[in-house]
Amino acid sequence: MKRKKNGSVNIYKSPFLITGFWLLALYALILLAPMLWAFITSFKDRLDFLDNPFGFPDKWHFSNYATAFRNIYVPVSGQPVHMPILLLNSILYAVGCTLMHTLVPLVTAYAAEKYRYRFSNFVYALVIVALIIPIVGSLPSEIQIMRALGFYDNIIGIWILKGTFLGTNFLILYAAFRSVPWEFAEAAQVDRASQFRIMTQIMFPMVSKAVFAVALLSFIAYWNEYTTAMIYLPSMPTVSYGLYRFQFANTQEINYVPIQVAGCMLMTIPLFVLFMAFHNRLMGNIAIGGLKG
Amino acid sequence: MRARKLGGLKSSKRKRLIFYICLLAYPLAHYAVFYIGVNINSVLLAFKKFDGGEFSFLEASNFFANFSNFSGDLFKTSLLKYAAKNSLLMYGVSLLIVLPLNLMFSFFLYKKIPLKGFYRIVLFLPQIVSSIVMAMMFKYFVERGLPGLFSKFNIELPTLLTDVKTAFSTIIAYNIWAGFGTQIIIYSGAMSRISEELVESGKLDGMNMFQEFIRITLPLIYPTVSLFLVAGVAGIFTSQAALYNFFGDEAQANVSTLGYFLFVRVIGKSSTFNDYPYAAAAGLLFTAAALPITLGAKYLLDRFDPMRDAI
Amino acid sequence: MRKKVNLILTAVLLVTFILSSCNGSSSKKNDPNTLYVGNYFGALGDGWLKEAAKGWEALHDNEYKIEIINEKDLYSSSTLATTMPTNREDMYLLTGLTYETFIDKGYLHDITDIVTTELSEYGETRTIEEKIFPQVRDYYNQEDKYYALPFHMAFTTIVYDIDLFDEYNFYFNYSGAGFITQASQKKSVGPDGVEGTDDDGLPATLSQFKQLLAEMRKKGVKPFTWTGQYPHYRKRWLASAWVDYEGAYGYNLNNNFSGAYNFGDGSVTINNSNAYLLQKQPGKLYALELAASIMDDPDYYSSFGFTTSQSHLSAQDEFLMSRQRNQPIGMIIENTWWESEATGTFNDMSVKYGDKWSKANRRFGMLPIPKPDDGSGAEEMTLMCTGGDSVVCIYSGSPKTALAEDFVRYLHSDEILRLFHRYTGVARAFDYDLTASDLAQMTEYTKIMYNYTNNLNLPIVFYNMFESELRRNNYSYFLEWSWNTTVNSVPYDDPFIAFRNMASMTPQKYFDGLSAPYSDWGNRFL
Repeated sequence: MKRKKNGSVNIYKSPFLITGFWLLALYALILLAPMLWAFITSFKDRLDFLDNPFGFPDKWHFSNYATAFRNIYVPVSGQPVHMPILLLNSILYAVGCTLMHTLVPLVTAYAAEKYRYRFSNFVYALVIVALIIPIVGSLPSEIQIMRALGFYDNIIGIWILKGTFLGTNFLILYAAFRSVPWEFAEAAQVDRASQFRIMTQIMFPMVSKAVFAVALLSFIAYWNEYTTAMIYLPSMPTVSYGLYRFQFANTQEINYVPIQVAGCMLMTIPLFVLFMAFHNRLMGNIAIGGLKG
Repeated sequence: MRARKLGGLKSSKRKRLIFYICLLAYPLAHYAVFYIGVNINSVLLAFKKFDGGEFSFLEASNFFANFSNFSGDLFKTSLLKYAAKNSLLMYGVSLLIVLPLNLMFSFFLYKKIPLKGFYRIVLFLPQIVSSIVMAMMFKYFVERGLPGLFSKFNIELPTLLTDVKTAFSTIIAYNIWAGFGTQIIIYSGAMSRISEELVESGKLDGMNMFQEFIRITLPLIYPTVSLFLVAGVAGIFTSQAALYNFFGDEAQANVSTLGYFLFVRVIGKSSTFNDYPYAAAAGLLFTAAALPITLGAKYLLDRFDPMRDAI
Repeated sequence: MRKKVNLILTAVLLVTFILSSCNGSSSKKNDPNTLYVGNYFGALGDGWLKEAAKGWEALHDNEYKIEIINEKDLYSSSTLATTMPTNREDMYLLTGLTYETFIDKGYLHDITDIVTTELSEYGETRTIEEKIFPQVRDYYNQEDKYYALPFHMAFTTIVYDIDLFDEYNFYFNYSGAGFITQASQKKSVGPDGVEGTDDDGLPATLSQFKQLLAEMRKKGVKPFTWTGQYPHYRKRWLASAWVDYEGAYGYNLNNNFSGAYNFGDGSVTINNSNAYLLQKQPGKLYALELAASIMDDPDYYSSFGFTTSQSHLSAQDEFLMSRQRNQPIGMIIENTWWESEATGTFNDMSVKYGDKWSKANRRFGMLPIPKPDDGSGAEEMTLMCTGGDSVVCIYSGSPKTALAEDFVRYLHSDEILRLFHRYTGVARAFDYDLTASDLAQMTEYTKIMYNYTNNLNLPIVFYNMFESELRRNNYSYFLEWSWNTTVNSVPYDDPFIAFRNMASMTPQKYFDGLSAPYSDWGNRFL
């Protein structure tokens, strides 16, 4: 294949790739324009924004960020919970859920892929069935069960709720284990290593890249998601939920677009940094099997 | 089987089995409670009412009241008709626009087109940026930024998100705009596993890029694609298409979707425990409707598996 | 790679630790000599309360102090229902409270004694009870006991920009057939039919109202803006048009579900079994005609008025900035306290564009509901108060109820009632008179509002003041009840949106569709 120096392919030979390049360029423009607009807007004051909603600020108001930071809060049993605690809650929520939603599928995928009992096929089938049979409207029932178990408004309960093996994380890890030959384990077994040691010290490291990718994807998803906290954690609101409420706030100090988008930026920047640090680890490290297992 | 090859001592076999059981104990217990338990409870809930602080079964004479209330709403007002139409439309868009774009973009990344590093970040951005932030930025841009830009040329834009003529198209546009992310990573991951020899042999046969995409890449990642397609059918009934992000629980009937309708029924400001049985009954009916569609889709996708004859 | 992960994990743990350690003891001390006053911190602010608190402290030689606790979301009925017993607040000034529920819970201190004793310590000869507006007295007086007093009295009305109306001569001439062409010309008598009053030159009838809208459009002025985020502003204004048509008695049937009413085909006695008939009071049809006339032309209203990003505050900003930006907007649908709420914008504008844009220098007025052309409906003007469930109350479990009682009496002395009005521009539902020096400190708009609400002795109807138990107990059912319609099997609850979304919608069609609840009323309530 002909490659240019920087490793990219020469697209001029293929109309399909040229179209692709420009299509992507167009998408990038459409995606980034509103974001850039929001970023610029986040520095305007109220009158400036009214006067000139599309353009550079006449003065850059960095204080908008401080205002947004101070004013994002969620009331919990009569007391406002502010940003520092919201951040703490978000960390507890996202890290805990990520751990559970990575470890449980990891262990299950390992068992199902490496232990060829007939039951393993059944486990795989359960995942596929849950994925394709659409159960709709079970939210009220789930809320009831969570309350009955004492998991409602209980962070550990939420971690347990999220500790399911159903879903794509299982499929990704299952596919990862499939590409690791069992021979490594055989060698160890001759050395009388325990099943647990084989799993943790030999097999898990072999799929660490996929595990990391899955964990990162899960973390991003949990960090951003607000409905679980809104529904199940009234006493432990997260930053996302704080931001969701922030847009409906109605004091004059914060109820205008520049402050609102400053809040958006605050929420996004940490994740963006995290992603930039690790994005190379995401690509090429995950694949997924099909319906038949 | 590999397990048998190891063979040997009975005790090691038993240890193996015990270890296996230990590994699966928690996941299966979780499955029993949060999948089977929740769903059985949901079915029961559909036949209950909330009265005097607790849920109790409906009287025999009125046993299907929740279902008849729902079907009454279904036929009496067009709210649900709108919702059903919108949900189907949204699914159509995800099938005919978002999916092909996802596949093509993945292919371009896989083929390492120029600026691929940049594009990769761009395509993953909608995933990094919280959906609520995406929705807010989109809303303010559409309602404030764009009108500001157009007013410089003395053009008055309609209020895209709330004008009845444009509202749902705008919601669709948003869902495309914010619709990339994880799938790109998974598809391009699957593509990178295609053997180089196969690609090279295609080249020798004189295939161009587009032909390679259609004849080699797509058939080889077909299992992954069909998995997402089949799983996506449920989205017709569950996706609320970001409506809650935009409108809270006050979206107008003309933009509503089935998923949104049920979500708000349970989570909305004025909803109470009284609404749970209703939502459960509606969910049960939706599931009954979705099941044949999903299985049909799976059947069709299996039939048209391009690799079916090859293997 | 592993290093990076370790680093991040360590950082996360560190942050978690630091954050959790600074979240330590949050219990606030409760000082026996300090009265904690919970103040709903909305449009009314706390300037007046600070002033009042200072006065009261001085009266007690600073022996006691007042600490004002400003909150907003935390002072909703649903939150307070659980937090009142654990809160530090001894008393509250709230914009809305489900009064009966809180009495039933036993959270409200019985203040009958202080309400029915002469305010002699302030040199007054009346009791607080004697000063309360008679329309609201019954609501706060539950079985001969008072557990709260009405707080503020606000009205959702059309606010118009007098400076702009003056500039464009948007006033009817004396004959009422056309508009004045010069400021010196004599204006029509306006809706009240009296010359020389605040409403001179303003549209008196629906057809004049339509004429005004067309005239404004012709002159390049957009007639309306309002909030898109809170549709209830428009709906409340519409309800006040309905009230104005029906008059107090007719409208109040909707709150008490008891009394005789004539729908045009003989008198019916309204009670719990047939209250659904009220869905079709003719006043509603008239209100719908008003809404339709505004929605008649997309140039009559700001397009932001239907976007969720247009909060009431951004609507105020749009309205206030419109003339400065040469894209003038003549009217806004707002609540009495809007000027107070928009103080920040007035200030920013006067700093940036000059003093002529300050709150003190701009003039706004209230545009009354025009009457039907055919003279149907109530003849006199009836106002609808939208904050009918606001309260001043004392928490029954407070260790300082006596102190709180003393402060409540102080707040209801004439002097402090006036202070509140002067500061906020909003009335309280009590009988008091502002002095010339009070009025001199107020804006044109709040003076005009004072005239309407306190001086003219107009009948006032209180929204949210449900005397019917059936209506009270089914709060969420009745929440959007008034405007729930179904036309061509599409449900609507907002007439403005219905007229906007459906080209073939007419007031009559909307009105006909209001009968939807007729059939399930029996199932639900009987």
